[in-house]
Amino acid sequence: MTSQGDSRIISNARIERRAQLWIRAYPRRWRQDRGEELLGLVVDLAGREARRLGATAALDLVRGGWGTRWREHPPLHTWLLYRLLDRRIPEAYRSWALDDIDGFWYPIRRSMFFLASYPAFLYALNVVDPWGPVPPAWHEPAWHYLVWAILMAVFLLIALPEVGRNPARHKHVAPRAGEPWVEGALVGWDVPRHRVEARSVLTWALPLLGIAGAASVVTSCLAPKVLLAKDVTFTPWNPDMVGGFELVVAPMVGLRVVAVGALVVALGLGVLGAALAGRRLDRFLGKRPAQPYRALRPISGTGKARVLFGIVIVGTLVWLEVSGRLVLGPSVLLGSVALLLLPGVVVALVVTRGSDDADLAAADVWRIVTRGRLPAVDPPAWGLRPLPAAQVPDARNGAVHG
Amino acid sequence: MRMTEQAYLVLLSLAGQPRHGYGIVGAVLELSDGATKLGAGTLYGLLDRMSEAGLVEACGDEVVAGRLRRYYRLTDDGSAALVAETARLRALTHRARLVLDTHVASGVA
Repeated sequence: MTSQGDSRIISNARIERRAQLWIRAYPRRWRQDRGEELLGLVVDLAGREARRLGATAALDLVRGGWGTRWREHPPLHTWLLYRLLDRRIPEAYRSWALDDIDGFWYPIRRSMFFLASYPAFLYALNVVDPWGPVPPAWHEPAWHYLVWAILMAVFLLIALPEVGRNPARHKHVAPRAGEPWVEGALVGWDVPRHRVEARSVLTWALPLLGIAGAASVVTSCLAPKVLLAKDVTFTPWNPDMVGGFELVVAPMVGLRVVAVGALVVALGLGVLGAALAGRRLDRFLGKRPAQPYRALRPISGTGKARVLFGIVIVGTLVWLEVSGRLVLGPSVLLGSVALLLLPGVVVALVVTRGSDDADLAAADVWRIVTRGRLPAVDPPAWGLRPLPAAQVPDARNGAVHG
Repeated sequence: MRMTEQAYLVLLSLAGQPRHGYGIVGAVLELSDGATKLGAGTLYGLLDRMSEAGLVEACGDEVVAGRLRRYYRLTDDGSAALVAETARLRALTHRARLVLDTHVASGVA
């Protein structure tokens, strides 16, 4: 049972969480600068006894957020030049550009015209059919192109989330040559090199590899079809043929043992590798050099999304192969890799959880395990950072204070 | 920027003293005799536009009960805009009264 004061705090916390959700309607940089202040006002206006955020208040936040986005958005011609031709954005819209480049959906936004126009072009070709009559059955339905575009977009988000961001930041956001540096301008500095924590990566890798390994065993036991290379030594319609082969889809008679055997061999090699990995980690973990230019972070949302995407791919393969829509093969290949890595990941997770190395990166574990060497000292990365007032260059002689 | 009734009330609320967001909402409610209750999103939209137009500026922060409160005040341009808008409204009121007086007088006759 909670007291009245406790329930008020819980109620305010609930309102804060709700408000934070609606405040996401505001641009990212605006939120960083004034989000806390706005949140305080929303909670104050809701009142101490309020238990929920009203619909009017939520709508007001959404309207205010989108209004702010609209005001900060560059005009159409500037936006088209930026988006289509990668022309430099004018200074007045740098904050908007930084939000755009840092945003989760940037990989899709920067490729949106390709993602939209390429499938549309292929579909138009298919319909116009400039190369002559094609049987109607060969025409791809329109939704195939839509699915293709969606898969491309997911691939860009999951596999290439950071590609192009850094050059875009330097091109559109950093001050140009000859432009005076002012406080808050984003200028190039040596910044800490971000690495992902080993424990975080290993914790997320474990279920992915486990599911892929288990799924490959299930598929090998249940899949009804396999692709075989069949000898062709004589054909009545071509008596001169000396020999060859053709690929045929055949039932899984006697071949199930081969698939399961391949997985067992992969697991055995994985166990041997894990023993070696354990010895190497025990030997080198305590001798790692200090990393003065490193900043560790847990696995990102994109990393987690990659794991979930991988699990979806594995599940899809299992369904395709067990239902006979696809011959057995891809899941065995994936499963072999997973079973090869799985014991090593288990050992690495146990060792890293048992150690008190708070600054252990996944890259360190990978280097120690695969090469049997100490990890190198990370050099600093080159990135953008707001210029502090104390380091604004003197206009007369270009000297930097501080 | 366009001087709407809400914008005018916000400027008027800042005429006497700097205020934070909650203070502005309360002052506007009082000035409008309860007719205008600003939401947080509406208020910050107005403050953004007024800051861009140079009518108001932030003048300090404080943390109360764990929450950040930023204070805003009128700039010289903001004061001038407020005085000009008040004069315009006074002139409008004067003309409206003349029209109404004429209307009532002709109606009586």
